[in-house]
Amino acid sequence: MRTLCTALLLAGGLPALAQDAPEEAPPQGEAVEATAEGDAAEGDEAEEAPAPDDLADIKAKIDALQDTIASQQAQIDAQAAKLDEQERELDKQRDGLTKVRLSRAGEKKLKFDVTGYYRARGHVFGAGGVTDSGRVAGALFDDQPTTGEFLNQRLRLGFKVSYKDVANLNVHIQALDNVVWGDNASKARTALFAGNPSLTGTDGLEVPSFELFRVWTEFKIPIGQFRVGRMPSQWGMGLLVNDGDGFKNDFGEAYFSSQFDRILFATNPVAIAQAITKKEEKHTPPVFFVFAYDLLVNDPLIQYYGYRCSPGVDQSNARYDARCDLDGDGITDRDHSWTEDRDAERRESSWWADTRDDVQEAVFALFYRGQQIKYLKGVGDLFAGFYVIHRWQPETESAVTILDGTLDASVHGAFLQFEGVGILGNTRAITLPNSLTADPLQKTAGIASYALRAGYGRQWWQIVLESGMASGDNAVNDELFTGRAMNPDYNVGLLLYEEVIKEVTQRLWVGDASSLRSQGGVYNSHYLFPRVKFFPMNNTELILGGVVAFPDKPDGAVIKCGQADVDAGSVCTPIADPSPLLGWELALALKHRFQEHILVSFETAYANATNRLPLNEVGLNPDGHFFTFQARAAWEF
Amino acid sequence: MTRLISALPLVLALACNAGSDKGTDKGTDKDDTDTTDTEDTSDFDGKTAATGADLTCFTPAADTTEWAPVGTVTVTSATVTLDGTIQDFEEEEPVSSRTVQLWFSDVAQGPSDTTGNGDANGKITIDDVPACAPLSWLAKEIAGLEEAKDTYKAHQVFGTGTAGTLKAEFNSVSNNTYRLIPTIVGISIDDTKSVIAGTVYGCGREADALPSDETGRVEGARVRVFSCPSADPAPEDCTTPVTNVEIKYFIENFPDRNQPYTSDDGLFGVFNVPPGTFRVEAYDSLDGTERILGGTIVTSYADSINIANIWAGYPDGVKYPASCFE
Repeated sequence: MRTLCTALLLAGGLPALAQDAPEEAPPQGEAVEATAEGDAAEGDEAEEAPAPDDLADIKAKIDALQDTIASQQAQIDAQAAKLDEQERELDKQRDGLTKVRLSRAGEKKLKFDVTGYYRARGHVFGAGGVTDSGRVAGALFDDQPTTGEFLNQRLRLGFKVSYKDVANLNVHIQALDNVVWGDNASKARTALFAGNPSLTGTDGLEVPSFELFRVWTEFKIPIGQFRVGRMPSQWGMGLLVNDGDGFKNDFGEAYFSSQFDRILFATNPVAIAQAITKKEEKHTPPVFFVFAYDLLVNDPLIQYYGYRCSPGVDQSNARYDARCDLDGDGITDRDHSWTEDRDAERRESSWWADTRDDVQEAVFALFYRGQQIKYLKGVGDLFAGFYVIHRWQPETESAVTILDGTLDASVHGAFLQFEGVGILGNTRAITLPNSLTADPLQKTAGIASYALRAGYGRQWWQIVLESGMASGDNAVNDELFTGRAMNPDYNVGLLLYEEVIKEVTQRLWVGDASSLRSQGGVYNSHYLFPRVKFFPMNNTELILGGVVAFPDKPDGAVIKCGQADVDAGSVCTPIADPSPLLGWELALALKHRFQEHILVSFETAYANATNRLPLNEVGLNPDGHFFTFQARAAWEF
Repeated sequence: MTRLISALPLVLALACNAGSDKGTDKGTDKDDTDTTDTEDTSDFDGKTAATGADLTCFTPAADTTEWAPVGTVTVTSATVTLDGTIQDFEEEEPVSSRTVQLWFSDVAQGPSDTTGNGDANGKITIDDVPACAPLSWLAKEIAGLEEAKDTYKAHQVFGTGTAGTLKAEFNSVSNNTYRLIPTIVGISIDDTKSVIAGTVYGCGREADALPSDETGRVEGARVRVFSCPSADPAPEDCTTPVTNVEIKYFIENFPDRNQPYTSDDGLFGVFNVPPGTFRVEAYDSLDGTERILGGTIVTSYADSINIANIWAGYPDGVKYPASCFE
């Protein structure tokens, strides 16, 4: 090899390093041919007989040539030695180059990425100007003498470590999650001397400064992808599950998020079918099937019994329950309600071993996701899918099925979006007993919600029409459980649902029933939510929107009843002259993005709540006129 | 799916009477009548005699009632020291930061006659409390907490106790409970008005039994409210039906908007009662005819809860412990 290389180099083939040697054969051949031609020419000259003097000259010339050849040979030997040395040097460089390549290859296989955002949002409630009642005009609360103002913030960071694009580790953290600006925990005993802000959330309670709230890994296998861990969940428009990340809403913020402890497998069934049949197609349709298993509860801290015990009830009493008679003497001795609060310290070491109290669910999703596809004589995106959840808990005899269908189509400048949710099933888990069934805890779920959004636009403008509904419950403790608010991170407007109805539900669904609160989501109502958007620059957006809300199933407390509701079967006392509306709202937003990452938004709204809402009873502004101005500054990357 | 809701042992048990030693009724006659019956009784749904209730201490009548003999209270000047506990009405757990005020006149107006402060464990000791005399008390939170509603109880009669000391319990209703119960039954609470709640008891119930004692509760009773012309009326003076209040009953100590009469827990609640003095009466359908079982006089204080138990056979809610007759 070394000889060959030496010859090549002599022939001027320096670019040919070891790896490329086979391709450099032609230069070698050319060199050989050239040498043969030279020999032939010398042979022709030797055929003429020379004279004796000439012989001496010839000999002298030969000697001289021999000297020359010897000299050249010495030079060649010297050059060969030098080349050997250069070759060793090249070997060294080659080794170094290989190491560099390997190290660079390693860097590419393990990538590191960071996404996230920080946002700060200021809220002002009330328009200023004190009314005769001593309350500022447009106030949120009845006893609000000044405009109410606060700022809060959130930092979310997502770290992703990727290996060769086949396996990822995702770590999401959040910090200062909706923490209100300032020292609101009297860290400085004298407020005037405050200098170190507290970690007080919008609910007035302290929150962790830092939370690692999602960690999951995902990896590919030949037939699909697995994900395992605590991961975000987002489906469709976000009515059911909503990751709360980023800034998806036209108005307001996403203050919450959905995440599950989940094992998920996703695959393209068409691709698998093609692989099995070995039928090669030019194009594999983007159809995906997802199966997931969620473990929602391993052991509830609140102990569930499903029956009540009172001590001292003997066997002659119809209320005697042998389960309450520990010693079997015919007189009950246990004392508890349907459930019983307990401290974590009261758990036994085997607390996780009993699976009867586990809450689990299986998730099935089938969807088509086409991006920039040709349909309806145009090119656009199309997403359509179904999402089915079966949730169960043996201890409470719960078996609930959640159905969710969604569509997101955009083409020709128009779009159509839809999500419909239905929740069906039976449960004994909701301990709001009723008197109409033999089993007071037996409940049948019949919950529905939907949102339908259509729009059309051009470069400078867009019109959006939206309607939706979240079913309510006119009697929460009867055998039918029909009420559930939409996900609170799906915002409809800025003020009526987001603040006013949220406050009403927050002040009435208290204590152990706090899970019935709307938290800002659409609650027990139908709504219309039209918007007009203008885009004066490609990074600026002006949105004008309106919300009109109609009650679904008034319950008499959170939403007051009219006579028509009573006639329809609601057990409640009707009020005089009930409004057909819950209320209405006008909202305006100006959004601007600059330096690619900086988002600024100014939003304002006026809302009018009607006599269907118990504003006076819950301490909200009883005149029903509400005003807010809000602003956000955010960094998103 | 809405998150699971834990149990709400919302015992409007407003058998929230402080307890004393056991005793039995004795006494002389004290007749009274109450003929107020202006409501339609057709929705009693054929409910007959109060299920399991002991009504043997008096003679229920359709238009007049021969009340149970009250007897002669022989203990007239004794005092006791109350060894009490202030507890949350819903959780039935001791609560701190509460005070208890007592009015010996049984009218919770003006300065109280004595006051006690609960400690961190809800324990409270109040000396020199008259025994065998009806009085009123108020369990109130320390100002600024906004945890609990003012909880009034009238016609509380403490017995003589043991060696001058008597165990007692004072219930304090939390703001959450005060809000949640009417919300569940579909009522918007008006803070300028009050809630009256209580239990209908039969004759067999000891006057000083503790709230947790479930004996003697009357099933099948309906409650009506009548306004009184003065702050200290005779029962028969309260004749004007109050219609702009909402009356609900309970199932298994839990409020239920569909329950038309007391279940076996005997509990009732009257919501959005304007300030004033009222008589709350309990009725039952006996032998196909509606009869009055008993009544109690209640003063309603705005933005508060007022406990008013009704004793079968007694027209004014005052029933003495047996120790008062010894």
